[in-house]
This record gives sequence, structure tokens and C-alpha cells, in this order.
Amino acid sequence: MPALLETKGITMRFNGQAVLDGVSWQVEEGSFKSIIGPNGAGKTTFFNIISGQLKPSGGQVLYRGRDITGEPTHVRAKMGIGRSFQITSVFPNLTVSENVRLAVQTATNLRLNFWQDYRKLGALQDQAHQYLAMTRLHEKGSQLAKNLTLGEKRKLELAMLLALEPEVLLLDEPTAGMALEEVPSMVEVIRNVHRQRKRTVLMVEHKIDLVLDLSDSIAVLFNGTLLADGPPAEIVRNGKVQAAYLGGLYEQYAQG
Amino acid sequence: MPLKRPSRSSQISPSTAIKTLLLGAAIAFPYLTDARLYMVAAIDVFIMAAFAMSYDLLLGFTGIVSFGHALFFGLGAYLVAIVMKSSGASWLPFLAAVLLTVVLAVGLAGLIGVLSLRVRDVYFAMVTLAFGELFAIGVEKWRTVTGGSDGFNFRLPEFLIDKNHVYFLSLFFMLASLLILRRFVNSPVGRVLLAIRENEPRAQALGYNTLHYKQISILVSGTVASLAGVMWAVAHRFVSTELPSLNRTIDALLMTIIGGTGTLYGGIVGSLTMRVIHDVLSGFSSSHIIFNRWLLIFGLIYILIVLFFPAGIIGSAAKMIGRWKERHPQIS
Repeated sequence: MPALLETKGITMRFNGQAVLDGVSWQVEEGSFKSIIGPNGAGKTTFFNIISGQLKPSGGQVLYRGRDITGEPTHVRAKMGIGRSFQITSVFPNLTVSENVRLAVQTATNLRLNFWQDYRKLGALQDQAHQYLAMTRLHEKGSQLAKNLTLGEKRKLELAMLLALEPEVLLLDEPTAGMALEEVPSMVEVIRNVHRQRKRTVLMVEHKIDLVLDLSDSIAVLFNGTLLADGPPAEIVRNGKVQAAYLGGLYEQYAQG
Repeated sequence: MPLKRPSRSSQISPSTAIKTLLLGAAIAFPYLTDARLYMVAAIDVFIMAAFAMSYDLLLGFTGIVSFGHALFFGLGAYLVAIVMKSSGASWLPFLAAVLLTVVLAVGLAGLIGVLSLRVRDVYFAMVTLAFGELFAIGVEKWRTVTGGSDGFNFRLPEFLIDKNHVYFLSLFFMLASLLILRRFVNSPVGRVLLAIRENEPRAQALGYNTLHYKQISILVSGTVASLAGVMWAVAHRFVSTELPSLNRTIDALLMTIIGGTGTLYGGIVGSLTMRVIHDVLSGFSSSHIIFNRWLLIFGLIYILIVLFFPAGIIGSAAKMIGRWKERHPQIS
């Protein structure tokens, strides 16, 4: 059986400079995989190539063994690859529940319905509410999305992502910019999505304790190449990773 | 605003009361005055309101700026005019011309959409400007058919010459446009248009092919605009190159912004406001020469409106009412 998601020799050049250089890598179905690496290692670029925002200069992206390298974002979303954004991206002047309802609507056959009143399509509203409850936003439904706190916006993003019922969730720094006290509940929501709803999760995240806590497997990107790939315990012990990731700090410790 | 939930109470809401009152006034208007001048002004207000609402679908609901919208207006007006001139004043060619207008408007909107929607924002606006100007120049140069910049008169069936008939027909046309467009923007497709206005990449990430939705928006908007052109030709029995000109698109843009984008009703308010300002200022022209340049003063008024009511008249009113309701929850 092929891996759920696979990349083969992904290379990305911006103005001749290689940001990614031959990254080959797999995600098994049902796993929780994280990508870590220092700033500028190419994590977000890699992520954008998987979700379809960017087209690689070379190499292939496979989903269930099928080549999707040339497929645009909305086609990938339909196939089951859903992503959240590092910079929060919601519909600011619509209500929270309408944000989620729009996500629910893509999965229905109402996409070309231009006559019925959306407020009378109760099933969609109920489903939207269910996803809001899952992300603990059910009390904020009637607020405008722009009035949410940053942490709440990130949860809203996740609710919209869940509403697409994707098989793979691509989470780009899900806790970035969140107030510290909001992080645990976000972690809880992510864990539930993975465990109870049996979704494959792929996450880019800087908070290393969070990565170690949640992941089954961790890939380390460094200078555009895959430095290591394995279970958390193995990654922690890996000397190359320590050197690359902790950088100068590690050397200071070594000297001291 | 489409954001508020429908009220469940059986009481008549203040906004319904105001709308009913205004509708009653509009129906009673021809019986209160038979001054031709006022009738013509009111008819123009209705037709331009429908045209502005069709523009609002693009600007306020889909978030795209078109500078070629008058193309559709001119298309409808000239088609009816040309057909009626060559066929004489009977119903069959008139209805055929209306039908042809819809077919051609859909076709042209499709073509323009395919050619211009690949680019975004300012670039899209520039491409639509090119189409609009191309059409306007074509109309001016094709003198044998269009009469060039002089325009031409034509005849219509007897029924459409009576000013009262035209008045009620344009009122009906405006209301029908309003109801159809309102229904459309509140449909699942209409909500996707709002999503595109708010954040197009996000809508794409949700799995919407935003190109298709923008195309639908242009089709609907263009069709309504072309029918507004038909109504204009009917009301004036005269067409000229002023109809497909850039100025007419700008009028729709100003009306929409003054009334409030993304509200639909804003188109009606904007159309009325602009006409009233125009007529009042022009009325002063005998007292001082500056009023001959009414646009100068209108420009000032426009700047004041945009500065102090950036959401337009309807939009600002809705906001104020919303704030008032928040402070007095027990009353509403």
C-alpha cells in the first residue's frame, strides 16, 4: 500500500537559489507528523508545495499514489487535503458561524444553488454549529470574525478546516501568535481531531515541547534538505539535529 | 445588511414599515403630480437605481471593480432602438429585441469574464475599461447603424408611450431587480460571492472555484444592467453615445458608494440622492454661474459623504441602528 502522502525529490528554486533541494518523504495514513527546522529551512515552502499554493521547480507530490503536483489548491481541497494558514485567514466581515457554514457548503451539492435563502438551509447551520462546538467556539457564532481574539481566529480556522472533512490536515503553526493561556485548549482540540476523528495530521510548529507531545513522527528540515525523519525519541537523541537546531547555542553549551 | 438574522416576531419591524411607506409614496406619486419634469426624473431614478444595484453586485458583493459596466446598459438600449427603428412600432420586434438583449448580454458577459477574470484588481478594472471603451467607440463610429454621436429617435408601441405606463413599468422593473438580486445574494452562491469579496484565497482553499463564481456574478450583473438599458431606451425613445460611455459607469459607481456598497438598497438611495443633488444644483444655475458646473459642487458633496459616511448612507444608517440596538437591547 502506498503512503497517504509522499514527495519525491522536491526541489524549489527562487531566483536560482535552492530553498528546497530534493526532499523525498512520506506520511502514513493515520499518523501525526510534524516538520521542524530553524527559520529559513524551507518548512513553509514545503508546506505550500504540498497544499498546492506553490508549484515545485522539480519533483513530485503524490497523494494515495496519484501524482497531484499540477493540481490547483481547490482540487486538492476536494481530494481531502485541507490546510490552515500561518497568517490567520478568515472572512473578517462575516459572522463566525457563516465562516464555518461556507466551509460546510463546499461539501454539499448546493454549490450552484442561487435561489434558496441560505438562512433556511438549517442542516448546514446545524453542521456548522457542530464544528464550532468541537473547537469550543459555539458561544461566538453570531460575532463578526474580525472581532475575535487571535487565538479564537485560529480555532475558527481549524473549525473551517474540519468542516471540509479532510483526510489530511495541514496545520501551519497552529499556535503561532496565540496568548499563552489559549495554547492548551488548542492542543486539546488538535489532539481530539487526530485521535477521535482519526485524521492524519501534518504540522509545522516552532514550540518544540508541543511537537514532541503530539507527534508520532518528526521530520527535520535544514537548509532545504531533510536532515532526519523518525519518532520523537530518536529525533531528540540525534546529534546532527541538535547541532542544526540548537545551532550556536549548542556549541556554547559544548564549550561551557 | 445581510448579516442580521430574520426577526421571528410577528410585529412589523420599523424597516418594513419604512419600505412600505416609501413604496406607497412611489405608487401614489403619479397621482399627486402630473408635472412631466418630475415624472421623467422619477423614471430615471428607478432605472439608474436598477443599474446601480447591478453594479453593487460586482462592487459590493463580489469585490470586483468594473469600468465597463455601461457596455451592457448601452447594449440593451441600442439593440431595442435599432430594432424598433427598422421594424416600426409593434410588440413582436420589441419583445424579440428584449430577448436578444438578454442573450447577447449573457454572451458578452461570458466573453468578458473569460478574458478578464484571469487578472485581478486594478488589472481587471483596466481590461473592463478597454472593453467598455471599445464598445463606446464602436457605437460612435458605426454611423450608418447608430447615427454616431447625434444618436437617433425611434417609435414604440402605443402602450409604452404613456408616461404613467412607463412610470409604473420602471418602478416594477426596479423592484423586480431588487427582489431578484436580493434573493441571489442570499443564496448559497451569493454567500460564496461575499466570501470572495472578503478573502478570495481563503475561498479557494475551501474548495470553491472562485473564477466560476465571479463569472456568474458578471453574468447576472450584466443581464440586469442590459435590461436597465432597455428600460432607458423605452423611457426616452432616444439613444446616443452618452449611454455606453464611461461616465455612466462612473455614475453607477458613485451611486453605489453614496448609497452604501453591499446593501443593494444603496443603489436606490444613491440614484435618488444624485438626481436630487443634480436637479437642485442645476436649478440655481440662473442665480450664479458656478451652478452650471454642478459636478464641481457634487464632487465636494461626494468627498464629504465618503469622509464622514464611508459605509454610504444605507451602510452608515444600518451601523448606527445596530449600535443603538446594542445599547438598548430591551426595546428591540
